[in-house]
Amino acid sequence: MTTSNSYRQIDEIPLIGNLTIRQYELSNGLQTAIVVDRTTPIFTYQTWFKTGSADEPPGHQGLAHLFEHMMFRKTTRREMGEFDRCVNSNGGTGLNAYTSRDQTVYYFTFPNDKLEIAADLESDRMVNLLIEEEMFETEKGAVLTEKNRGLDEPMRYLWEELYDLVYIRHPYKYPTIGDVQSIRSFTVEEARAFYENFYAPNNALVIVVGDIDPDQVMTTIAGKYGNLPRRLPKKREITSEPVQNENRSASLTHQKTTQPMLAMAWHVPNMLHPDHAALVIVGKLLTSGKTALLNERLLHSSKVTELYAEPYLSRDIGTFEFFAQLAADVSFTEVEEIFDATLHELHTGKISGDQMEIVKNNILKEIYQAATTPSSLAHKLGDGFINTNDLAFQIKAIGQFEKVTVDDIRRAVDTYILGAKSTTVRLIPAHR
Amino acid sequence: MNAHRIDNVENNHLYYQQDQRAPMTYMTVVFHGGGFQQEQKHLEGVARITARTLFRGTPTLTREMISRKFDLLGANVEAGASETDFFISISSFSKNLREVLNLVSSTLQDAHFPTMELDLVRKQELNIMEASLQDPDRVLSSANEYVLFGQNAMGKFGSRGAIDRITRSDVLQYMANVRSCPTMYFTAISDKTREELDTHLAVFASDRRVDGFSLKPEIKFEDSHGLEAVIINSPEATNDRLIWSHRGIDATDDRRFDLSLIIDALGSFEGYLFDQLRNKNGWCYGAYAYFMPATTRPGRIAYYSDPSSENSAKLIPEMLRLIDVFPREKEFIERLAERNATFKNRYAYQLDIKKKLTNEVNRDRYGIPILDQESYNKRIDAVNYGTAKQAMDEVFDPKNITMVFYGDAERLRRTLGSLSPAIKITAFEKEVLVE
Repeated sequence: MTTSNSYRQIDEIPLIGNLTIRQYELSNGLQTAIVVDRTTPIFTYQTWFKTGSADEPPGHQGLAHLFEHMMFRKTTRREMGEFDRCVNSNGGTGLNAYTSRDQTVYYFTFPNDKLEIAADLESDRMVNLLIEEEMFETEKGAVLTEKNRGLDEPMRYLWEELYDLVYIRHPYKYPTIGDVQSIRSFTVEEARAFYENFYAPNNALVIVVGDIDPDQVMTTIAGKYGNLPRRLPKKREITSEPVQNENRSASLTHQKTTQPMLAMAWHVPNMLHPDHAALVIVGKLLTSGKTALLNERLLHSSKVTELYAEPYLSRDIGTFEFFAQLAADVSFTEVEEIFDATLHELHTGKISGDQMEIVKNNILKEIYQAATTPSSLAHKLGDGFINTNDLAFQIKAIGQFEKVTVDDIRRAVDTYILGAKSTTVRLIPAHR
Repeated sequence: MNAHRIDNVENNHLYYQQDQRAPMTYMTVVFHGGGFQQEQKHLEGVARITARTLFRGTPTLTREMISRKFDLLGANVEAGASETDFFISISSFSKNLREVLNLVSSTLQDAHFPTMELDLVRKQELNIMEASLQDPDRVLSSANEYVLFGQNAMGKFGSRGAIDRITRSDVLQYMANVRSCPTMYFTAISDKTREELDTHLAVFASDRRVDGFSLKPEIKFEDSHGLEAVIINSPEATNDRLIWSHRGIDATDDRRFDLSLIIDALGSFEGYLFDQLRNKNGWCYGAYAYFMPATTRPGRIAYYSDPSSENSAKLIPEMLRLIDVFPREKEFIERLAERNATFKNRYAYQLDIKKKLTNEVNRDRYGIPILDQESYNKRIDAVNYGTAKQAMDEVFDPKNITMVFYGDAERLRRTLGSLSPAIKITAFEKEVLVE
């Protein structure tokens, strides 16, 4: 393993074939993951910050996302527009970012000889950002338009309502984009404070996947980021979510909805909990593969047009979720009853060897797919880093999936779904 | 330079790229000419219904038995239809590929489209069409094609009436013609060698009839005369969406090198339109220019934006103005000057295996074809402001734009009605896209 004065290699984890994950840490705390894949002479460069909408102060919903937009504007070294132009003229593509509950992610792809430029751009805006009043106000307009786009989408409306209902106190209840009033009210000072509080090398992970040399990457990263100061990230102030002691439900309409939609959720633990693997398998038994239980009973019988069931596991409390878009002549009750009966069937433990083999096939295919798609692989690594502090968590979890027994599945279904309280949102077409 | 057209694919040929990273094979079996261009007017949707029912039963295997076999083999198999092609997409563990292809081949031959399964697919198809109407961007995109194809069948989500009319006999007939398309070819990305794949694929070639659907000429886009606006009335929309377009160039037109650089400077995330409309004014979330690809029909130059309803009246005239004046604007010209470096630096992306495979099948599709690096750089270096200016003068046509909008027709009519020169305006409800 490579070590220098400014960084050390922490781990080396085999992926598939010749692909290996190399993990490093700089002396200022910056984490780095490198995967060499020489299929195409390019590399994907992602920067994951361990901060998202859950870090927003109360009443400031949407600040993390609006701030993310500002990261493309101006630094002490680069004028407005220079960042984008530098990416473009050097052949960078796919420049973008997103904000979620627990993370904010910046990413682009470059030809393999542009590593220095990628690292320079990202290290610069990690600490040198300038947020000016006029550009901040202009960007609010773009974010408000983005918010409006979302209001036109019934699916987004459904999930926003579901999270608002399933969480009482936890900040996961709020949509990342925020609400119109809060977006309008943010000040430059608040955006600057957010930057100071959460953007620092010791609160970030850089992932580089592609046709690169690991030693060269680390030398470059150490050179560009090594002198950036550590900061003490503001401690998260999250009100813990109380145990759900009652079923909750809501029936809503949306002007754009043409098909009824059903979303249900149950509280589950965070990703680090030992039941993580069993919950993932439950979801796959229900809707992964053509012959998965609910696909057979709901999708192929044309009772629904879209369907999924899976855990949404996070850094904090998560949810097991079921979604269905119903055919016009099918009632919510019918779909809910089929879902409930299927869960009871799983709970009896009548799970065939074929079913388990199909689930394992699908998990393996997902890993192959992710390992050969740099952006997907980077996402798996980042997701592990954010939710478990272990960037290889999702890769190592394959071993946990192998060990899941029928008893584990029964217990997970009983503990988290059948024996727990549910939250249900039904979206009804306005013109039905 | 070799200038092929996309209908120049070879019968029984495997277009192939090797990828040894994972023991997987991603493959398509393509019946060239079997796409929905073959549908008769009263049977719109028969290609898709046929595709969706193809793996739902043979005389000896039920849908569930077929699906289970594929699932157990670690394979995902889907049939579909595009304008020109009927295709089967396969992803499979390579170790099981022979078995998977044997099952695909036998099902192709023996599929008997059970009535009960057809009824379920018909119902599903109708529900999917209805569901599509709730997605503003899909409605806009579909309406844009519907308008450009002369408000006929093409571009619509489908037709409720036609779906109801399709019988089992129609589907059987359609499939018989697909099976016997004169041109069937394969694409594959796999860790297996070409020779191994060729051996597995032999099962498709034996004694195949070739008197079925032949590729037809593609329907051309209709050009507007003056500025013509079509509004999909959506009074409840919280913001507007628009796609405007005018005629572009043919697939192998040499000006596509100049145009690629121009469109990038004008319409990318870092382009002139985004900077003017979004970065400087905050009127929209996106503002782009892009190609609607040429195939055997000429492509189009298109523009997209999504202004909030309060900013729409400001954005629309300004976007129209920018499309007219950009070739002379300093900020655009500066951006364009940087594009030679941009495109030369982007050569690496040409070597992506998916891009190479697509390029091999489609040959010189609109945009920049894959060349060796020296030829590529030479061609990019040949683009300068003079050649670009000539291409802009010849191709960009701000006076004849088809403007498709999604939003409140009454409000948009007011905005468009106040502009000069006069814009011809029509409006329809989104229901048209499923009637």
